[in-house]
Amino acid sequence: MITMTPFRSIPAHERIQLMDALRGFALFGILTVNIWSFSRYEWLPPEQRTDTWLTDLLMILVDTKFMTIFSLLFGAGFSIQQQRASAKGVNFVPYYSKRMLILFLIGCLHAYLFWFGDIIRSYALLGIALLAIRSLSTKATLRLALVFICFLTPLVFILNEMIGIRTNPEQVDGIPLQTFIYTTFIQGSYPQILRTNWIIDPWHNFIQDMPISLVAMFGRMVLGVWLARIGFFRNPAAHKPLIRKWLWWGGTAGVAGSVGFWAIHKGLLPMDEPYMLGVIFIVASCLVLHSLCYVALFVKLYTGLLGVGLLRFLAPVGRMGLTNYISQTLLAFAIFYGAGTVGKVMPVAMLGWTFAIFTLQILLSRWWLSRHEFGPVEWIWRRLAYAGADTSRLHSPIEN
Amino acid sequence: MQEPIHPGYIRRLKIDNIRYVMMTRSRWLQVGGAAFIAIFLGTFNSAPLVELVRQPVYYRDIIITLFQALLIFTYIDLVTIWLNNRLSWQTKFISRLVTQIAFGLGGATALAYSFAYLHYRFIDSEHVFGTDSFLKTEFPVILLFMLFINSLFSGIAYYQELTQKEPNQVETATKEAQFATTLLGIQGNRKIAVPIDTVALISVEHGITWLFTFNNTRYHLDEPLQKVAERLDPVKFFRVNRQHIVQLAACFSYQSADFGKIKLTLTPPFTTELTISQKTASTFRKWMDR
Repeated sequence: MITMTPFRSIPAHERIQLMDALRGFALFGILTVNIWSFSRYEWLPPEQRTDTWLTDLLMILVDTKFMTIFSLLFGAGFSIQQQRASAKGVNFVPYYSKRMLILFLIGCLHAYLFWFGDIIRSYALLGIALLAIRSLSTKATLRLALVFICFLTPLVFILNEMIGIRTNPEQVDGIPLQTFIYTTFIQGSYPQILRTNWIIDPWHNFIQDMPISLVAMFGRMVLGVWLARIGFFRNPAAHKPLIRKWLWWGGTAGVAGSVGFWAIHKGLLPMDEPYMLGVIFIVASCLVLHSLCYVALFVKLYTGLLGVGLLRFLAPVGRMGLTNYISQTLLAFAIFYGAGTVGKVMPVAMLGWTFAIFTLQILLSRWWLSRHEFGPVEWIWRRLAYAGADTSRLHSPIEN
Repeated sequence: MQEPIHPGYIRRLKIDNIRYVMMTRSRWLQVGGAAFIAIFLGTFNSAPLVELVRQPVYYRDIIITLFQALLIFTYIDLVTIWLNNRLSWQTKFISRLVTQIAFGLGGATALAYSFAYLHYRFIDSEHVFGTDSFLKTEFPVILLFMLFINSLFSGIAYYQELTQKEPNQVETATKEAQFATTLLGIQGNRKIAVPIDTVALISVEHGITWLFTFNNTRYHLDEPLQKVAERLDPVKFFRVNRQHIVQLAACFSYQSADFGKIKLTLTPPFTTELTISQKTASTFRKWMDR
């Protein structure tokens, strides 16, 4: 008796699990940083904050590092989707543009309904920008990434500081801005919180942060495109020398760069000295090395004894990355507002909550993916992206 | 071989279509939309959020509103589907608009008003219906939501009319009915009706057409491959080259070969690897990946 086997794509068409697991790992780091904003700690008046060595340690080891990894994976995902679309004869530009447009709308909903600090919109905009480099050679892609990381990012950082664009109002409703935001977020009604999101978003995200965010993230995404093109995520074992370099340089120069970045933020370095311009260029490059050190460390663990565990626990979180990114906001707000502790949670407890929320996400992701192929937000994203198209193409395995 | 289409078949297609709409598009629209409305109405008020979310009554009201919104969504959806089968947006626009407003919007408004009355009468008895801010603030918002839901469902219906989805399905059904359901295989002196679903591969060897079933039984066909191909459903069967026609379920895997060609592996027990030319490769990929 013959078993009728339905057609299945060849293994190369399957998701790259290392990328899913790494994305899950990056989501943990992102939560560690974002929870400061979710708990409204970042808006507390200085006298109410209890910044300790833990605050500084997190700033050095976590801040910006995981966003870099997320950006690398986004760029790599773009490249892999492009390769698959090409193999399947799908016209990639309209397909990807539509996906990014919908992603932008999802980001807007997240930003305005829940949390002004949303980053999805920047990814969507940069996703469209990535289309411009899709025909670059592998070598040219690396060069472009290095130009953005080592030159343009620090340059925009310096210009941002020098020009000092600040369009935020000094007062809202006759109250100083900082007090208004703090009071609203902690004691305000939901319509008042929405209004504050609308007030903060234009200057905080689009004018103050957007130039540096876009340039920095684009460089990292292009680097991710390069990594995908050289097959780093498909076959990390073939890139052992690269991994060794990242471990070594990231663990030394990278960490030193992060310390430098922390010192700049803390105002410990004399920023008015001309030689500091050079320091900023070095720090900007080293920050990426620090993230690459984490990637290398993760790959080492993944390909070693811990591989199965990492895969089992982190890959489901990464597979539904968009859902989990948004659900971090919802879970954190539900916990902090629900327990009435908003604005009252201090750094050590916040780290505890980070582990608790992430553990919950691991459990929820595993449970959901044991029943469904995609995360709920990813599913809506796909449904909208394929609206009007032949629905059978919903099974087209282009994404990763 | 052609079979006339039974009227019941067309009717079943229409019912299936409504059921499909109910189970897919409407389900996620209804549940997602109702959840959004319930959370919006429950949360969008002047109480501090940190206090609001700690009151059990907040969750009670959201659950009640969720069920009410689900019922209203379902009502508007059913009215729209019912009207779709009677009044076309293209041919009877004015009648359809008036009926949609009367039944879709008017009926839903009456339903929402009744729900609110019952809620204030039996659940939230502290408020006296009509004396608080409900009619001035919440009800206009609910009305706007219902207007939006009506526009959404009507828009989808109008879009489907424009793209003529239903006639296409009927057309497909007509074609399906025209395709062969059996092929006449020859084994010695016997002529055997081979059900089309058991056919894995049809091939030509030395000018003779052969049919292979999934259990690897071989029959001779008394007609050329081209003639056989014309009678087969192109959704299920594909002519990969001059010598072979394969059924979708018989395709185990395929991989790119040199010069843009494709190598196709069939489900065991067939061991032969079929080669698909560069010219046919793109069409074949599209056929496989539908």
